[in-house]
Amino acid sequence: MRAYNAAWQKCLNRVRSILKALNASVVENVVQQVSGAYDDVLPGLPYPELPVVPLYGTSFALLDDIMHGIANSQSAKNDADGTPSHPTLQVHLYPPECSSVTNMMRALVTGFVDRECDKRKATSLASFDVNLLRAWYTAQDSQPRLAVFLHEFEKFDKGVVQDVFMHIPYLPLVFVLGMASPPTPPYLHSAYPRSTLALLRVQQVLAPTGVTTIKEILTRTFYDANFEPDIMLGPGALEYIVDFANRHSASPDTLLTMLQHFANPLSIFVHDNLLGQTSTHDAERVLGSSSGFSALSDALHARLLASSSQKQTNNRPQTITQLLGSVSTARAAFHRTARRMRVAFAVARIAERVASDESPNALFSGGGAEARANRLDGLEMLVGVQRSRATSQVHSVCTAVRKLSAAKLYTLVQELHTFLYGLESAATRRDEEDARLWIVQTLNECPQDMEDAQDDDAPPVQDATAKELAKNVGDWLEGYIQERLVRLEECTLWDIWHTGASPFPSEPINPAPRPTVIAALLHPHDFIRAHAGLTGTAGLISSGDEDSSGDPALWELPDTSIAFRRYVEAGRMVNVFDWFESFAVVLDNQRKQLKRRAAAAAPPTPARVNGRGKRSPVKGKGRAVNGKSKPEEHEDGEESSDESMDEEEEEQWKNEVQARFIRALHELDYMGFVKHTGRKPDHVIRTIYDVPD
Amino acid sequence: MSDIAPGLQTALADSPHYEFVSNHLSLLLSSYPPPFIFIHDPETVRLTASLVQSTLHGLASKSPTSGESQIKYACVNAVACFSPRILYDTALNALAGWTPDWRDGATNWHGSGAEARRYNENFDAFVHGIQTIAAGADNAGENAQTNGAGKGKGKAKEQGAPPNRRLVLVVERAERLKDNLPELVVPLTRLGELSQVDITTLFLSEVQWQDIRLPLRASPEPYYIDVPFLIKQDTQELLASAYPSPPAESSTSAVDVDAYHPALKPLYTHFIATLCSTCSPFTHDPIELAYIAAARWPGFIQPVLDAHRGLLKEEEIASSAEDGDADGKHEPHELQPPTEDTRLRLIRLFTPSFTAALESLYPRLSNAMDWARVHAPPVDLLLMPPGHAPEALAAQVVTNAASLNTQHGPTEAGIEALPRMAKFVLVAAFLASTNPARSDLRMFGRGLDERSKRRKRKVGTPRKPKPGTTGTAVKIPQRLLGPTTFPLDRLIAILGVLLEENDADTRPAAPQYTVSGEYTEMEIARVALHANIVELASMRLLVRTSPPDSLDRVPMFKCGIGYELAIKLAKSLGIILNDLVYEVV
Amino acid sequence: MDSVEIRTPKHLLTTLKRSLGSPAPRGSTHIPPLGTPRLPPAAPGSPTKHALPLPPASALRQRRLRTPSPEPVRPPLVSLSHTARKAAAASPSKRQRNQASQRTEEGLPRDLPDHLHPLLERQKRAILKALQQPPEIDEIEVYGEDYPPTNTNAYEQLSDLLMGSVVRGEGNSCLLIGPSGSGKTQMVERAITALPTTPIVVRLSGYAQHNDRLAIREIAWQLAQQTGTSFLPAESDEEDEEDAADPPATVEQEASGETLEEEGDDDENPFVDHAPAAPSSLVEPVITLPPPSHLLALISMIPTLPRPTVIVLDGFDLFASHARQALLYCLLDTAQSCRTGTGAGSGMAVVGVTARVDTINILEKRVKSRFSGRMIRTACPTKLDHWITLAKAALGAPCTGENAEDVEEWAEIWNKAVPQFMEDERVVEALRDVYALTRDFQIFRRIMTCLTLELTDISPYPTLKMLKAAISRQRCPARYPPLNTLPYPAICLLIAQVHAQTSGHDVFTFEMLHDAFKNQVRTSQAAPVQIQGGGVGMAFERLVDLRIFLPAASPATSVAKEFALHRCAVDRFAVKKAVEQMGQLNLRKWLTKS
Repeated sequence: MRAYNAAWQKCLNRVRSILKALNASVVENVVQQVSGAYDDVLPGLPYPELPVVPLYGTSFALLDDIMHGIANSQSAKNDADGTPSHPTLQVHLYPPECSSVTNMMRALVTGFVDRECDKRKATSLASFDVNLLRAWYTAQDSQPRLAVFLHEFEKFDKGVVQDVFMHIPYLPLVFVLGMASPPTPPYLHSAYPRSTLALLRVQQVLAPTGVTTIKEILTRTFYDANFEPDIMLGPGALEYIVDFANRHSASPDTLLTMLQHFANPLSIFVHDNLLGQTSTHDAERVLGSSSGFSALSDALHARLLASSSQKQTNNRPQTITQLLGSVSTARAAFHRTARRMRVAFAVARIAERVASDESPNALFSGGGAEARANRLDGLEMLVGVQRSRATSQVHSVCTAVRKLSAAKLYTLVQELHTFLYGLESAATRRDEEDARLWIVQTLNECPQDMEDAQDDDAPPVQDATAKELAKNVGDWLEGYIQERLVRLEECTLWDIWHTGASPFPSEPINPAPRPTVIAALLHPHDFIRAHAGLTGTAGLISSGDEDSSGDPALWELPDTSIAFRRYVEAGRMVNVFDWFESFAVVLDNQRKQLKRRAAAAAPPTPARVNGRGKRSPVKGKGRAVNGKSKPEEHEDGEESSDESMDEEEEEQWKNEVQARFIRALHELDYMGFVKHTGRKPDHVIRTIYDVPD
Repeated sequence: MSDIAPGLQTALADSPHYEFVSNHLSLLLSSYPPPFIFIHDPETVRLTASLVQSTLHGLASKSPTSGESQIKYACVNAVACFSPRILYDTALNALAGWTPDWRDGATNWHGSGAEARRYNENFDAFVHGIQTIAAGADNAGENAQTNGAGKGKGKAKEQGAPPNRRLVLVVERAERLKDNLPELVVPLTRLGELSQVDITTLFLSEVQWQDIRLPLRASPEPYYIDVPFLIKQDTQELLASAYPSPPAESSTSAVDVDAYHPALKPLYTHFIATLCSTCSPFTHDPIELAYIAAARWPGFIQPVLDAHRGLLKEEEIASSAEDGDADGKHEPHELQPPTEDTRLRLIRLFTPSFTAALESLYPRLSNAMDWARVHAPPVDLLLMPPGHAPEALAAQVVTNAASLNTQHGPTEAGIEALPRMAKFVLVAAFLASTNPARSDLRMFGRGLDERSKRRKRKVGTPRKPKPGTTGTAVKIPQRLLGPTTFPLDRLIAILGVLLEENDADTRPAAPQYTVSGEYTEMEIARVALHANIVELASMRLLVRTSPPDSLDRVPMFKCGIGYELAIKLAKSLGIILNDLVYEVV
Repeated sequence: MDSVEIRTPKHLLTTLKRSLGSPAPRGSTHIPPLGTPRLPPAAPGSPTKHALPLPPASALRQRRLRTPSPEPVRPPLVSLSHTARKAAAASPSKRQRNQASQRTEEGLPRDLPDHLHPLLERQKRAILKALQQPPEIDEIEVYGEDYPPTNTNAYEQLSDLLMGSVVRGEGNSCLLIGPSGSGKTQMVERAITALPTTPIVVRLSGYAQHNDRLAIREIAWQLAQQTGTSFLPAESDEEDEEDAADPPATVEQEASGETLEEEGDDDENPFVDHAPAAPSSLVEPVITLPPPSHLLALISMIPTLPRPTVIVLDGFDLFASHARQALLYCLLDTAQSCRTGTGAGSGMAVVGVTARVDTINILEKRVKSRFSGRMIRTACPTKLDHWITLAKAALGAPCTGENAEDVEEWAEIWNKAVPQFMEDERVVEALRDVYALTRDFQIFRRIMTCLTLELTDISPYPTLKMLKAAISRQRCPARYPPLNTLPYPAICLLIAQVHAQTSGHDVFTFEMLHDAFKNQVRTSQAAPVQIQGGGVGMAFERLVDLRIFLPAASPATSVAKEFALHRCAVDRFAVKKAVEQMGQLNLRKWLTKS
């Protein structure tokens, strides 16, 4: 887990930095809007306007960036130019505290004014009086800019904001509105009357949001040649993330939560094989000693066997040392391939960019939408690359490259050169050595024909050479890229560092509670099995359920399910007594059946009490059912002991049925399936109707 | 409410149009004012307000001659004074000529008493404050640092000059008093008789008095002053005379420095005339026109300035060719007003852009600054052949807009940037709140046969035989009456249909769902979907009409988007909306 | 102070007029007021009116009237005697022209010589002044011989009631009922100032003091102010204020108010340290107000004050609406008890002023039993001639000037102009219309003020046109701005609304109108440059601002702006007229379409 944390931390920081970089432009834009709001005003306006900066697509990260940006910019400007720059003071208002004009003004005014101690008496200006703010402002020697942040602007009461905007003269206030709504259709214009808008100078700022951000993050986290994540996202996960971003919500925060999910039992080896210990033999000891790890080492053996049998190496790592060694080598190999793939991908994209702006439509015969869909820098392509679906595209790109004109070619080679030499990590540079060499020499042969390609109308000879050059550049590119774009699954122990095609665990991120619960109530046994499979407590319930592997009869279901079945059959309003009757019928049936079965089987160990004690109505269905399957068996045990049941038995049975029904009813109630009505006595209302069987 | 630019104010002061008002006021107030005056101006309240203020200022600054009484006035804004206390404070401070100072705790004006008195606790206290001021004790207020001296001064004034001072209390946007402080309307109008001093209350509103006054004739009838309407001629003169002074060098604005060069005033007059004639059918409001003018003028004048610069440069060269006194020769070339045909050319060039300006600026779809930036003309417009000038202008506009956008960051975030599911939800919401609930089965019945049946049936039913002919009122399509509310379940159901028909193929493969439609069932129960709905509600694209906190009630929603938007979304999703709308448009 | 000295000439003038008053037609019976709802159904005092001789109070007031003339020894004295002479000159000349106005018709110079312009200004000021402090008294005296009108009668009752409680120290309570603008308040003030000794006057208004707590605080404050001043040498100037005849109440009160105020202000510090026993208990409340429970005790000790107290309750009916009418109960109870009680305490009078006729009925039983049931009615002037004479007097108000001959010349012209204006039948007609509508003096004053303000150097004389304009402006100001001045989209919306109405929808949303508008534009390329959406939406908001479109449902946050239901306040004919005036053919076609 430590290793996992480390890996995750690395990615997280990366993502954060990327986000910050993305937001930088917006931040500085806002900052200069705010600080310069009163510096340049259009002369000749009939009246001064109130600058307002609606900020669309805000996230909290962006907001604090902006706040810091404003603060820093002030200090920076102070250092930079000797001019008495205006510091910007900020006040943040939230909808709840602005329920009325008075409250909003109070929040606004005191937010600024209470920075100093105030010795205001009862005879002084009211704390919600804008004049107080003015008095305070005139007392300030450095005319500050007053920035007011209205968060969640859509939730503010229109009338209030209207009135507040209505009277804010002669104070350098700047309003920054955190908008959740998209800029089109404009919320401001749809919500506020013209008389208000006429007072404002609205200058929109759009924060980068949506799919583009996601794409940026993904590419630059997992497909950037200069950054090495410890764990490569597999196509499955990528696919899901991309789909989710398109379909549900494309905000960086959700992306982060999703990225957190690449956990893996083996991920101890993600970082180093030292298992957090200092030296190798400590690691051996740990690995040898601790039982938990022994199982793990077995797993490792198995994997290594599988992989090594594929590549017919016969040396089976005997000792743990060898084991660890092989693990480390495997890691190295994996990282290498991953790195190579990233580089190749980057190269391919460069080539494509150059080629495409050479001849945008010649490149993609299909043109239009699907062409853009399978562009290499499309979001889907990230998946495609790993699925090695990209080859066709790569091919088309390379053919395009072959057709490149000399000038284009030159630029292409240039860019490749800069890219390859701009690589940061030494390792990458090392194993791109040959590519770099090749590039250099192509570059060397490029220029001279560049000159005479330029100097006058290129003679066919030169043209031919250019073509020639273009051709082999294209070939080289194709070969290069194809060689590197391998499936990451090939290398050994890939699934330690690479969440392969395994589908993303979507349920925890995006569950569908209601159908799940209903299904659980309808088919409890399936869920019991699933639950058992998850928590390896198979032994507990297997006894009751072998025979009911098919669709179990009604009487075999736990009480709650029985009650629920009846409920499903009922009408809109359920008469509780009828419900109880039908329930009781089923239970009687169940009793008979169990008696019959008990005749055959030996009475199991009585565990009624703790059976009852164990069941807790608030747990998920699996638990409840575990608890339930027991007492039935048990009580038929005592039924079997004496043949005819006499009065108090009868009485007791009645009570038990009633108790069980009440419990079942309460469970349903707890899960919100019934709504109590005051209108009719002992009736409840169903909350869900169309229940699939 | 923000005040008017100085240029406009001066223009107002000497505009013949408003003389009527100012004369009336000054004569009344300086002689024997009625206790309650009501100025009604439906068109240009802000102008009138500034005018009244300037008039009062003039009266107040005028030293009282023997007969008359010294006037002190206070202007309060009924919007700004949303609570009585603020009203009292503002009025008293202004009347006493007292500005609260932050350093001594921003105290209000407290009479000349030894200990500070509160005049803002209730209306009586306010009246007492007014009486004190009227008694001339507020000289103490002006130098209240030493109360004793102030009081002494007050007494001295008592014996000396006639203490007879007249107070005027102006309430702007008085129509808001009725909403904000209804309990103050009557006392304010009766202020004169309540506080036994010579005070005149002056209401200023764009609403008639009978809309403001309370029932039962509790407050006396005011003396009405109706501001006459600005006819087009007056507006033009007003605006033309409000030629702004050249901006200070310090202002780092996007506008050329001598765009408001005095020499260009005649051109400005013509410019204003054209502007008014273009825009007057849509708005008479001088402020609006001035706004548009301010946005358009810099671009309008730019070519002239360019030409002038060019001239200067040539002359520079020429003068540098022969010796020395170049600067001497620069004086005559000050910047001539352009020639007649230049003016005509400019007007012809820019007239189409006037309406453009009106369209984007009057609804404030963009602000003057940005608009001026975007519509800045290319350099040396006058030099290029007249044929090409217009498209050159247009091209320039496009490029400017592009540059502005790039500087404003990616504009890709629109309603198109919404996630796919959110778009589906919006379309479903639109359908849910435009279609009547009873028609759902017909509309969304599964299977093509019902769909075709519906279309057959639909031609007859919803349309009534002939609008107007029958006695009953014509049926108004729901999309004009506004969206209706719908429960969440209905939204989900419609969404399910839409998804099943238009979204099934785009989903990632899910082998575990076997039954047809089961996948959709799962999809529409997802948490992320509900999260989407909530988020849309927070964006006001969905409007939640039920209280958000009640758990057991099923939440009701309303569609927040209009027809055009819905059509666009549906197209982007590949849904044919008109098949699903009950009343075809 | 100067207020006093402004006043004095007018009173000389009045006395002069009275001396040579014209005998108006005798025996003209008192026309019962036409059924304007605000008037009392039938003035009960009317039978007694004929019997009443000239009241002693006014008699001794007249005697006091003449004394002050030597008193103010200030530069304005010149102007004073001056005006007196002017008035003497003016009034006869006016009357003798009254029967001979036709002859002098052509006597007016069309345009005013420049040197008279300042005089016009002065004249206007004079008229305004006369309107502000109406020369009502002269009217009553001019007319008074044949029957004392209601107000005089009421005035007598009120004044001797006050006299009773001030001089004889009894506790009285009465109710002054009359339609607004019938001079109730003014009468009270006059009566109070006419009293031989200045009582403590506490003025409360139901409009300002919304509940008893506020009212009691206010009482405490005012008591403290006046009792505080009562021991100081303020006596003297109060005396000569009284000798200086009764200046019309408001300003006098202002003057005295000032003197009281400023002394009150510097008296506060003496009070904190050393204070006479009686007021100190009262002055506490000003500085720190004790709880209302304690304050109620304040009222009960009012009779023990050194001076008699007069409590004026304006908006009496509003006080009746307070909780349990506690304040009224206390006040009236105290008044009653101190009438019956020992004569030791000084008297107090409670004067309720209200316009509600049935005020007595809304009093609770216990309160009503304490109330002395004395109700004095005032009425608006009951004859049109009253107004006309008022107008004459106001317009004919003398004006002063630096050099005498200019004044003479101007007076010559002006005194020709005024009667000529007033004798005009249509002028009288116009006035009669207003009079038939309401007899409120205020509206008359407003009309005359407006008329006066209209006078300019170009048209220096009042004309019928001005009067009509003034009446229309002051009596019933236009409900809406003239529709034809609305911008184009607004008119389009109005037309669309008319169509919606004809198709049976009285309430409409913006979308409906906009849709109709778009259809119209599509079908006929009528509209000029089309402003998409925006402009029309703005126009809609504008109309809502102008209250032409009224919201039909309370604005809910969940309803988008363009779907809010509205009603239209102007009918289709107004729209039709506006469209006609605009004279845009396509608009007219659209309006008349379908």
